[in-house]
Amino acid sequence: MNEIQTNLKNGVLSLILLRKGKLVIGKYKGHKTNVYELQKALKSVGITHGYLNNSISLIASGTAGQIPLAQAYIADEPGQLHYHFEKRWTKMEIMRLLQMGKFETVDLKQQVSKDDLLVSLTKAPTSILRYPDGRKENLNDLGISDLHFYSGRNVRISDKNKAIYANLNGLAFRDAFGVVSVAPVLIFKSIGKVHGHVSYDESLLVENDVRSGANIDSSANLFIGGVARSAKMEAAGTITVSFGLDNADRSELGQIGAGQSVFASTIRNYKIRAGTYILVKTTIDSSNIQCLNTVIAPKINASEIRVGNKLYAHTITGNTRVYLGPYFIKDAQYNKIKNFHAQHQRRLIDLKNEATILRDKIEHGKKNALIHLKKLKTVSPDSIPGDVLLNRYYTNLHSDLVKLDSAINKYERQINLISQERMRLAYYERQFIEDGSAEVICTGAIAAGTVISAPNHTMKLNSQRQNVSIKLDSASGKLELKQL
Amino acid sequence: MTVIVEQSMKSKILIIDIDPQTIISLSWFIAILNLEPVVVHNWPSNIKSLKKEELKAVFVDVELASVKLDQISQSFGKAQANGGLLLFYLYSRTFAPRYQKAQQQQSYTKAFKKPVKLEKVYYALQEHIDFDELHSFNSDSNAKLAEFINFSSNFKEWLKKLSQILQIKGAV
Repeated sequence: MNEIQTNLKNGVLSLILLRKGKLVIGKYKGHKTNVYELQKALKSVGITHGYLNNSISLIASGTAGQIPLAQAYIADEPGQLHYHFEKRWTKMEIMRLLQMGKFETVDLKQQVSKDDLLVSLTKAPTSILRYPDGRKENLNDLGISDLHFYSGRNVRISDKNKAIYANLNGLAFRDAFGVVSVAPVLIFKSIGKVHGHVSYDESLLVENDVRSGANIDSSANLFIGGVARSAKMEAAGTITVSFGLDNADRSELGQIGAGQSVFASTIRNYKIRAGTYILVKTTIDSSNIQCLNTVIAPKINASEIRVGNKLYAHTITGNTRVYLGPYFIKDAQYNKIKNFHAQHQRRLIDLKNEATILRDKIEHGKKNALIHLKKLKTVSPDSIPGDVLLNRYYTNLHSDLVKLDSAINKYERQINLISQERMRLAYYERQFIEDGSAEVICTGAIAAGTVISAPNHTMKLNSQRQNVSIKLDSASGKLELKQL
Repeated sequence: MTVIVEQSMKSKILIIDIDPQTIISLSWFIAILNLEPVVVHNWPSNIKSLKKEELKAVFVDVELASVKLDQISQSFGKAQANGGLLLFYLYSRTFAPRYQKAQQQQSYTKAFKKPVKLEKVYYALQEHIDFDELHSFNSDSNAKLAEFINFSSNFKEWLKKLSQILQIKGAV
């Protein structure tokens, strides 16, 4: 048992660690406090994970006495993957790109040939036990060390399940849950309202413009050689628009969603949702942006940006509002998978109960059959083969065994399905914590009137600031402004 | 990521008290230990509806006016004497007449003075209850799956023998 005491503004928080550090109980003595102060105090003594938020709120609301405050939990680690077909930027590279404002040299097409290496596994997916003090204990019980969770269409797994290769020539992409696929390319001159709903499983290359009213849907990547006007576009992978997105009509159709990234020279009056990156060559203007991981744009004006991890900009103007951190990301697809996951977990319990009931029934039947058999052996052993009751026992038990085997199969399939969902959800959630805390980095000027929102803090700049970093403290949900 | 736990599988811990601080502190702590706290504020009939065999421990404030010591003995004394149930007394004052009387008359596992120190409760429970360690989804479900598969294959063998006795051809 370890005892720790820490001073808060108006009181003292006493902590006791039980179960070899897996459980932290605490007691607050003093005047009024709040959740953020308590979380900060926990963090200051090294308790960084597994907060029991309801308990912390209870202490903040004035409950006296000891309460459990943090506890160890089991989490899935999706493993470390290296995507050979896509570019990942380092902070240094992004800063240089921002200064230069040039992205032309970046290959965004992700073109691959048959048998090209797409993904290699550098660390296998595992289950970990996370202690409140941040320590990790590898449980290694996932029973998987391969990439089948991440293999999509037109790819194959080889190299002892440690790598994914392309099965055909085409464009590679991955969705928000890390699933890698390759798709061939279909070429169009231009697409407009007259084409109706254009929906393909292949990657689409539009050589000229996408006109107002177009509705495009690709289960792979989408490339537009010209401008995209007020159009609705969805792609499971990346959307690239060479000459920008311009919704001059301010139409409701002006929205795009990409599972991976969005690259454009400019974005005006658009509503955009993306997974990994939103990379803009010049300006994001009067737009509504949501990105799980990183937004990079030299200039942002009069826009609303929701970003899970990092926002890099040179200039931010026009009362732009930034919502920083995963708390503000609303993704229907993620919610859908989470809901399905909860349903599948319940189904697993039902299947387990079904198999247990059948097993108990079989055991009961077996017991009765044995009693009867014993009786027959003593009374008339010769009549055993033709005994009607014993034959009936056999028939019933055989039928129950078939049912049990079927229930076991369903149970096994459900376990695999849930494991897969857990991995994908863990992959999705990890995008928020890559490269440390959520942060806004502005290498030029950030204008007065810009508002940055965190879960527990809203910062409105009263005067223009130069070269600043605004970081989210994930424990307290507050923002910290620093000079770069 | 949350894993849905089958509630019915949890052992129950009964808390008989009216002091909100003790109730909150104990019940939250017990829930964290993967046990199910059941709180009642006085002694009457709702205790009868509880299945005694599901109870692992009882925390009772002996100073409660509604609590009669002979009723405690009647309800839980036998199970406690057999070692199947832990009986913990809660009290506020060492010299309170009811606590003094309880000490003399009853056999109990341990007594805790209020405000209850959870670390003491933890060590008292730990001596008798094997707390469920945190289990991961995969280890639990794969173990259960292996158990089912094992049962099925053993039973297949048994059924095969039965079919031979019954001289059924091509069975199983």
